[in-house]
Amino acid sequence: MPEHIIERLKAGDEAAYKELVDKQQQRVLNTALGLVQNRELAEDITQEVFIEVFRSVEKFGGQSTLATWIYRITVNKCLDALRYQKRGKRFAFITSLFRQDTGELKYESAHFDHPGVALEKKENARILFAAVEELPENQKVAFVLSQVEDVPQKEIAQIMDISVKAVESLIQRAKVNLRKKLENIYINRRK
Amino acid sequence: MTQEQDREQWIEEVMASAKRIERPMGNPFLYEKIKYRMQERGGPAYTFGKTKAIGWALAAVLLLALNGISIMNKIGREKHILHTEAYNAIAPEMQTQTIYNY
Repeated sequence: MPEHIIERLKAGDEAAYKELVDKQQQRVLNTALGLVQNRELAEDITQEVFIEVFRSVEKFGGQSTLATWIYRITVNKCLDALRYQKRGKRFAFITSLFRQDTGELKYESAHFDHPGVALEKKENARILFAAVEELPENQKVAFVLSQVEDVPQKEIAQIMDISVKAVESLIQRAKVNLRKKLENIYINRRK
Repeated sequence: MTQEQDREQWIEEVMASAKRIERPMGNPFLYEKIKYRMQERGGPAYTFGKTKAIGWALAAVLLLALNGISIMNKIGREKHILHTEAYNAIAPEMQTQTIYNY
């Protein structure tokens, strides 16, 4: 992503907005899919991410790359949605994603099928994503960015605003936790 | 293959299933959808509903007006008390008090 696009975005160049959406949407959607594990919710979050980018691009100081900044917004939006889902609190930007009468999430994440997984891996990926869903928040973010989006650890550190060592540790712990969960699933499947 | 080996192999396969996932196809109309959503909300500066914003603004103006009226009343009352007290204090010396001596 050429960095001069930032100047065009700041100048309100509509072609630059469209170019940004076209080039970055897959990255945003894939990250959101990995974190919230629901296609419709991930698509809604993708739109919210770009709205946030357009709104606050003027404040973007270039401390990180544009892609890293967009990843950070994506992760924050996903975590807000997941927290809302968990605690049932109201967030203005995301209320449209919830039923007005009950406040429950419109979209269910059970039996999530990532659209990018090859057919022969679908069953395994479904089991893995179910286990990932149970990970603590920061381990989930580090694991998804590293394994699903293939983001380098240095960039994950910038996205999560932690050290590279902390990222390494989070991924390691996530893998250990996932192995434990998978061991239990394996035992239950054998019964 | 022992059960333990089988379990390890299965776990490895499951763990590897998230690697090299293809990114989902992009939506060619996504920008239009975003534009529509922004317009629906009243432009990029939108943070919450128009009605809500007007309501809050009116409430703030009303609150300020009530505060102003209350302050003006208080000042007026205090001025009156001060004047009366000062008048009463100097009245005997000035002999300006009316003495009804029937």
